[in-house]
Amino acid sequence: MGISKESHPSSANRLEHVRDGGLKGGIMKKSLLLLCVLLTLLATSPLFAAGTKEAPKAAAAPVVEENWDQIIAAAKAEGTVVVYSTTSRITDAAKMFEAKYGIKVESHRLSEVEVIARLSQEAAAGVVGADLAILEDYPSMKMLLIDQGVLFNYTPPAAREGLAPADQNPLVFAHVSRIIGYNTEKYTSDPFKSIWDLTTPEWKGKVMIRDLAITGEHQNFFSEIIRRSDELAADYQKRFGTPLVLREKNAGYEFMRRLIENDLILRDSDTTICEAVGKKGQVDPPVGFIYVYSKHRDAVAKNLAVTYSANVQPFGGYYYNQYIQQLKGQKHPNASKLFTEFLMTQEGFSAWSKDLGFYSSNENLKGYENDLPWSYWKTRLWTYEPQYAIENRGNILDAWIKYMK
Amino acid sequence: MNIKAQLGRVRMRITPQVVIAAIFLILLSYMVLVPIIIMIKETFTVHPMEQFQIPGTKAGDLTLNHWWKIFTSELSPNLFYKPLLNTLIVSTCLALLSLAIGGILAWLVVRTDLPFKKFISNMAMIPYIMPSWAMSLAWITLFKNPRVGGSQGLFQFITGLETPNWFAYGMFPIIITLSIHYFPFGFTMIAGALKNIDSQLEESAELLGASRGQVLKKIVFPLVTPVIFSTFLLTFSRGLGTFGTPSFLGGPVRFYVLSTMLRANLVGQRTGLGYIIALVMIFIGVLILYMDYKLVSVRKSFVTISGKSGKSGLTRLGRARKPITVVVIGFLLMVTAVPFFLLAIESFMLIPGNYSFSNFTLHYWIGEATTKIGLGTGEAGVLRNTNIMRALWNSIRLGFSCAIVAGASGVLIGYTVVRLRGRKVAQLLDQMAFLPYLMPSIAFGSIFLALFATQRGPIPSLYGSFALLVLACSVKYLPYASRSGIAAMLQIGPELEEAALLQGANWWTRMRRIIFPLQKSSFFSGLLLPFISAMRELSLVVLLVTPGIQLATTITLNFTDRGWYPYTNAVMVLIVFAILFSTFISRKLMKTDLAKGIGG
Amino acid sequence: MSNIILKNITKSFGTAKAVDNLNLEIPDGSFTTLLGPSGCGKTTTLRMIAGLETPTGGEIWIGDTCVYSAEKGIFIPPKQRNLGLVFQSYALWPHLTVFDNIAFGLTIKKLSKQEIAARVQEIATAIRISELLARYPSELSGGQQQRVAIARVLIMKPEVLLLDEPLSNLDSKLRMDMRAELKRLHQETKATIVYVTHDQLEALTMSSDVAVMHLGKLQQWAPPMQIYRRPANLFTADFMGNPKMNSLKGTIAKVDNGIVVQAEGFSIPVATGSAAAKRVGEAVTIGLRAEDLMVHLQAKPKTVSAIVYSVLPAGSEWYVKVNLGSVQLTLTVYQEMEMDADDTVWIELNTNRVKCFDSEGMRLDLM
Repeated sequence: MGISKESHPSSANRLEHVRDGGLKGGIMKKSLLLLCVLLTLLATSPLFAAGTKEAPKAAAAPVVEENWDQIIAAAKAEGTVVVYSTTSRITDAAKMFEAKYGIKVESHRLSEVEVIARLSQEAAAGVVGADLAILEDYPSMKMLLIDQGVLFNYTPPAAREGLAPADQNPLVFAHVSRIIGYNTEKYTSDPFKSIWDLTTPEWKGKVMIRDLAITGEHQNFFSEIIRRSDELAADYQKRFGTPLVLREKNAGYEFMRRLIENDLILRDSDTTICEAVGKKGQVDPPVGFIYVYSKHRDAVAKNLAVTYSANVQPFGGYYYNQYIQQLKGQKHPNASKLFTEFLMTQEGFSAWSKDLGFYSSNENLKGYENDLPWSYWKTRLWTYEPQYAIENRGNILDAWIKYMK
Repeated sequence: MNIKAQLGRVRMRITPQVVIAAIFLILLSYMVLVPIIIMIKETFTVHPMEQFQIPGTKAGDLTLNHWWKIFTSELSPNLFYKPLLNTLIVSTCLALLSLAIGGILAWLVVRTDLPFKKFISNMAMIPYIMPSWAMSLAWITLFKNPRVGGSQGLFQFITGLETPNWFAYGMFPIIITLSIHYFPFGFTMIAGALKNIDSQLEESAELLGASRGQVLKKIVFPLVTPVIFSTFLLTFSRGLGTFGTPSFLGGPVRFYVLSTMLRANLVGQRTGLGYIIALVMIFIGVLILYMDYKLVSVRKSFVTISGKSGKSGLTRLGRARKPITVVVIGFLLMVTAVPFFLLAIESFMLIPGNYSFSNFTLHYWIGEATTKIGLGTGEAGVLRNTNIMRALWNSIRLGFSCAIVAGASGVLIGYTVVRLRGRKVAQLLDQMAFLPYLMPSIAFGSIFLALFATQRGPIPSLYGSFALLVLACSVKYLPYASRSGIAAMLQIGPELEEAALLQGANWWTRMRRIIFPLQKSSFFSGLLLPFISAMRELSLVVLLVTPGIQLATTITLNFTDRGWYPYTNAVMVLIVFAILFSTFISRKLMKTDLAKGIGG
Repeated sequence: MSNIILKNITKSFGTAKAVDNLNLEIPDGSFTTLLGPSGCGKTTTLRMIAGLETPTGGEIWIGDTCVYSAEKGIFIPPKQRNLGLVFQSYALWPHLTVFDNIAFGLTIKKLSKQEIAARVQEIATAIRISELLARYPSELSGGQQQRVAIARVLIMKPEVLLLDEPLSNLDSKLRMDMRAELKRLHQETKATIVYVTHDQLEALTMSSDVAVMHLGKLQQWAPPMQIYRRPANLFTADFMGNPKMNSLKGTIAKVDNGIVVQAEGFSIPVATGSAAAKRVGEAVTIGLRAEDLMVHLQAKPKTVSAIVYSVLPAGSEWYVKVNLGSVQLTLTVYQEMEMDADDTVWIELNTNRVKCFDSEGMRLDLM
């Protein structure tokens, strides 16, 4: 073991100093310094090693014959499954799962950034803290976790049957929608025809967004605005009858810049935005740009007058995916499989189907009865192209910072 | 010379102080220096997400790109220089303002015939006990204008006047609310120093014909200068690292500081850029620390041991006494009762923001789990919610454990630093123990996880254990304890210990029977800040908690997320009460102990 | 046997030498005073004997035991040296009662409660503090605190008793009393006492030997009266004695009837075989103690005239300051004389008592 071997020179060093008559602080300091360096080496080496680890190729899930009776029995023997999740509804699903199988679910709710940070730090340290994770922010997940061999994919039978092949690996659990919301007390009809409306003087100092700088999915999505900037330019022409005058390199960046320059209001949470938009009795309420539609679920309880813009072009918002991934080295592989399967069934998904803004990746599953079906949203919302987002999201944040006054 | 003689000479130098210093230096190097080294290394490494922005590289390559981008690119002004300037302005103003508030209050309480002193000193601690966001929330509730939507600000509701943006959001309210949050630092520290000043020093100046003002300016002020610098340092560096308030109050007018920029780059998975900003923050802190050391250390010796302090010499406020009392109490009520009331009242409202009488309820405190009424959360009221209560209990345990670990370390570090004073080791230890204070919590938490998640050599894996939380918080809040430990040890002459040494008491006996009893009261006061801080900590622990060990602050994240503020606020009210109660108890216990003469 | 031997003791703090090559042999049962101005290294020396400081070099022996040796790497910790130290500040533990303060060392030795109580009573009675046992140090006067501090040390029956300026915090009357008591204590305990002070009067009145230190170096080590009479150098001469010794510039000169030192009109004979006789022509400093100068109201042979500057009656004696040329001299007068400021008087020397120092400040014997 490194430390005992290495510590000899340091104690020899100490003696030498005494002989030299180099007294007091000198001895202590020198040997302490040495120790610090040693400790540092000790501490950092495995860390850095993890960063450069050979990334195993994410294997396409081979359809293997699985014996589900055996899996269930083994899962019950394992008794527990641990899950990191960005969605808090996991606790409801956990209760149902426990009731059904008698397998305890330890669920741990983390934010999108924390899940990624935690999984990658744990992996770097060689710890497997959970069995599976429900997470979002595809680019980070792909680059930091999947490509590093921290996560692997498992497609349970329910998903193999009901999901489009593209959604099977990595396994998409659900789609989450973000919309443009306005106050229905003030605006009895949809005030927007185009997203370019948000950049007009009429809406100056009234558009509210969760700060892109602290919202990974926003960074991902804005890459799509860049990628499809032609559609934005066309929409500008259509809306105002004149061609868009560019100061930035394309219509996407131009939109970003104009949005910010129109005195954009940054908030730190979608909940706050939704409440600010929907609060009744306001003379001049703000409008919420691309916040999570599920915030509307509490509209009645919180007495909010709020709805989404259905007519705005070219997109009514965007959606992103939530993924279910397995942790390499998971301690409860069978329980994890079983829980994954459970989440992909109608029964498991029922924990989420009670609310707006959340749509199973399996279109056969029943969603929330008061929400429109996924087929509607799919046409209204944009989403981002994963590889393009991976390659460009850094530019988005840079542009955001650059335009910021 | 033979080996034995050399060994003997070495043994001579290994006193308990040196051993303690060495142990702490090793521990702190591991927990403080190693994280900094990791951060530095990251700033030169291409992160997986960045390889497309830095052409021709792949993840893990070495690069100077981050440094270039932060300091010399076209992005630099917005990415770094403006936030840096904002940070410096905010921190400086905040430090000055909280110094002014704390200093004036301390002077009034210690040096004048102001009535209700005890009440006032107790009240003055409450702003720090409350979370800083409570203050920003209160500010928004009171002064917001229609820009951020939602319900009307109270000020506008009453006066009909719309507050200007600069007043409602951005730099101004950030400075004000943070000053209100941090002035208790200055208050306690300056009050402590004022108490130690020998009143004869002032009296002699007065006899020489100096006016009250001159005495204050020429005698009192210079004497407390070291403390003023220390207070400035402490508050300034707090201002550097604060994230929540700038994010909440700065967002509406797109006001960025370094901490929000750090966060942005961490969220953007641009660790390299983020860590450069973090390192700059640490560097500024170290610079201030160095200045403090240079400016203060020379003078430090004379203020702390200035002899007996006289009781007399209270300035008579005369006719101004009444108005000043009213202003002081009015101010304290404004900064304690108002935010607390706003915090508490929401936990009693069935629908947040609806102030009608019928809306008031105890549902979120003692209600059953149901989706039928109110926000329909399906969560039981806080007091009967076993998960929340368990988390709260964990927080209390964490607070106590962290206070004891940090407090005991603080006494030992204080002991060592003072006993080895003048030697480089002491100086090194003093400064190392302060470093954690300068580490931004967001960065510290994730590095701490990496350090302790797995076994490294002799250091066992603490992953998922309560001990890891205790360790992280203890290290983070060690500076409070070590500072008060050093200050307290400076008051105890070395001969008290030497006398025991000559009587044959070994080191442990000396600590147990002489040092600890003498340090008892400052030990307990030193516990207070780590205790309060640990109970309220969020960003440091959020990555370290596991499903099994939730804390009151982490468990309420779910609720905050969904806007279920009644729960969040109720838990916060409970935390505030728990802190107040513990403080009260410890004070009572301390008193009884002192009356007995401590272990007599 | 508990004599104390310091061999080549050096103590450096950084580059500064607090104690420089000190050699001292303190006999068993003696009362040795380390005397010098503040910063001379006397307290450091005491603390090195106690083991509270580690010397940078040299050896320390207490009795037959080497308690410190730089070369051999020996360091005996303080508690094994069987010595007691009374601190200048007394270092009473404020959180313990007088009883507990005194009993502390015995409790470390784990004596039985009865025995401790008995011994505390015994020492308290001896040192007259038995009525104070239940009090806390903050409730005691300075003199009482000091007694407690001494009792706390004596109860351990040390062979060596170290006292660090124990009287400096007391008022002058109490100081007189305590001097007598300490001397008495020495006779009763027969312990070897090492006493540190900057007060030459204390050194003179109490010690059997005095070691004068200056700037870390030993200046002279001798019985007190010898130091007073035959100071080894100018510094020692200056430091010992109150009022301060007068000094005059002079030269050694050969005259008709032999060799003399000439200074300010005085002419002091030098014995032919003496050290000074060999250094004719050198500039020297003449040291004159106040009591070695006699004042006359009329001119006499071998006197020099001077102008009275001021007269300071001090009860049993008078101090007279006179201006002699460019220098001012202080004289002690033991009888009332008719004198006033600005009067002219005539000064005579007791030539036998005159001290002479060379340009280096070292003593030159005139006899």
